[in-house]
Amino acid sequence: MKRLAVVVIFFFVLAGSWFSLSCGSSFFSLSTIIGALRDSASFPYESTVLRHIRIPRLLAGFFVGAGLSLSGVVLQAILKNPLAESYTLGISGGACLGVAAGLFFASSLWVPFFAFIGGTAAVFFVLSLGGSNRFSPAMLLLLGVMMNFIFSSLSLLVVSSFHHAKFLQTVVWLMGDLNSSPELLVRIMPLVLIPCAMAIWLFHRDFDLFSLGEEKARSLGLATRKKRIIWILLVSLITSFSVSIAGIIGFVGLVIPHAARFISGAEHRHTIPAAFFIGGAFLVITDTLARVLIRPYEIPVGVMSGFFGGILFLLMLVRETRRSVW
Amino acid sequence: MVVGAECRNLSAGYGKKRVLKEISFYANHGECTGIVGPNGCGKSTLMRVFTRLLQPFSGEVLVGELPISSYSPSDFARFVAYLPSHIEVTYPYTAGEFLAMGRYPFHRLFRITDRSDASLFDRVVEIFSLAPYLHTRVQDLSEGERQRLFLAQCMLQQPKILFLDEPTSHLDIGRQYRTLDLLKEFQEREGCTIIAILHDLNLASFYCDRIIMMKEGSVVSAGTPSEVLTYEKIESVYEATVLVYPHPISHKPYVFGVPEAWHTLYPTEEPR
Repeated sequence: MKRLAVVVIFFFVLAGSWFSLSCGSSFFSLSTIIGALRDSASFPYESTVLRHIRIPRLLAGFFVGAGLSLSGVVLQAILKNPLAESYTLGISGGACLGVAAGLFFASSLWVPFFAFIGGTAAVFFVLSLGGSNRFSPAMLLLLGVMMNFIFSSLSLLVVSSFHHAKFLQTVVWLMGDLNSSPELLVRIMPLVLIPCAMAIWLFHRDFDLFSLGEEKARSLGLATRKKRIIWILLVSLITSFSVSIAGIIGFVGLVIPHAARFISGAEHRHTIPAAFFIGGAFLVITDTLARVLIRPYEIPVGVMSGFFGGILFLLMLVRETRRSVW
Repeated sequence: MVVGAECRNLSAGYGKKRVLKEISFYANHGECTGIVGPNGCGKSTLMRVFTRLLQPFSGEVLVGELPISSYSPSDFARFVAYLPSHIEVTYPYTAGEFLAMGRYPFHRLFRITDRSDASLFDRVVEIFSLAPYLHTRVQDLSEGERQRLFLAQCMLQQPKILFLDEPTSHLDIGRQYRTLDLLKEFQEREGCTIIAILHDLNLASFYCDRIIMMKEGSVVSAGTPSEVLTYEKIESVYEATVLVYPHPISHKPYVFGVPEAWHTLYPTEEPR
């Protein structure tokens, strides 16, 4: 079962990469891709397209998807709330406002920093209002979504002061888009994400304990208050980079962790790597679909992921309720 | 007698509300101490203070003759296990995975398991007859199976002191006795101290070496079951009419409730 999960995820990632590299304004076959990567001299056009357009975009999609999905796993565990993710807790919205402010005041290099401040402020505000256990999961979700709404409106307010070209670009980015991602950030993101992911994976037992609830977690030796703050800060960091690169992409962080648990089991030493790779591959595939479905136009990937993620989530919800009823 | 757990002049509560008022009591090492009392008298609050879930207002709390604040979180988890009255398992863990978490306080960051873990795990699975359920999701277990699983997880912590908040609630009479038998057996083998909140006075009478009776945040009486479970004390604490007779086999006090309609039919000549 576990071995099967590894194989399934591996093929999902491979298939996603192949799909993403081969599709675009012109279709590349698998042999062309391999040839162009090995020997750029004989495939000058393909090689350039791959190196400068498709591979960066593949990596951006993968890291953003993996980061969002990982954030979802962590948040769902530490808040013991299956509906938690950076979008539903307002982190994305806060980060989004941060990015808008960053674009307003400073150069793009500082954008993730502003996003981090915005995201962290938003999540601590939501948690201090909602508490970790005073409100029901649904209530916390409602609070977070409201915060997101407020922050998005504020972001739009900032963005509306931009000039035409910048305005258009920023609005597309707000919808969740991998087309306009700044190259420098795409290069920095793995340097942030991979150490964070390793740290999260190393401490996988923390998240198992957190998901037993505050009382059990503490009586099994987990310093919950301290750890909760540390992990939320780390999640904010990951989310702020994702948002700086690709804008608001909802549902990846909510749905993929559930899919990962379904495939690999609930133990976090399996869930964390599963969610990382499935999340990455999922966003890569969604992004490719968004590029090719109505060529030559591109649908923002946030629109696509929201659509498919939402449907997937509904299906899972129906399945779960059936299970518990019978 | 060595003292396993003790508190002196302990006051605690939530916000400004004082639930525990200057409580002092002790539980002997290697014994089973029952805490009884009406709903809302502070039993669970007391347990939350002892398990460091709630910071007390004032007073001293000691386990293993050291103040509880002197332990590190993982040292404390290796010394004290706690079974809350309610555990909700949100994610689809299997019973085996859930059980294994009882060993987490012993794990180091890079060294996950050692051999003693596996043999202890198998032993606990056998004692609690959990083998058939190890691959079942916790959510799909019945109430009795789940309670056994939760207890087994506490046992994997190899605690010196075990705090149980209503370990037999939601269980039928057979399972209540079997669960407490298991606990008693484990306690005698491992020599640990058990402190349990019990709603059923007769279970407390059967299984506890000492009983602490509480009312409105204070200890009313503490001692052996026959010292504490007298009709005067029970009637004043619970505001109910009861009869107390010795159990035909164990000769420990057995409490019979008497509904109001029957009060007039009381056999006044009989000893109570």
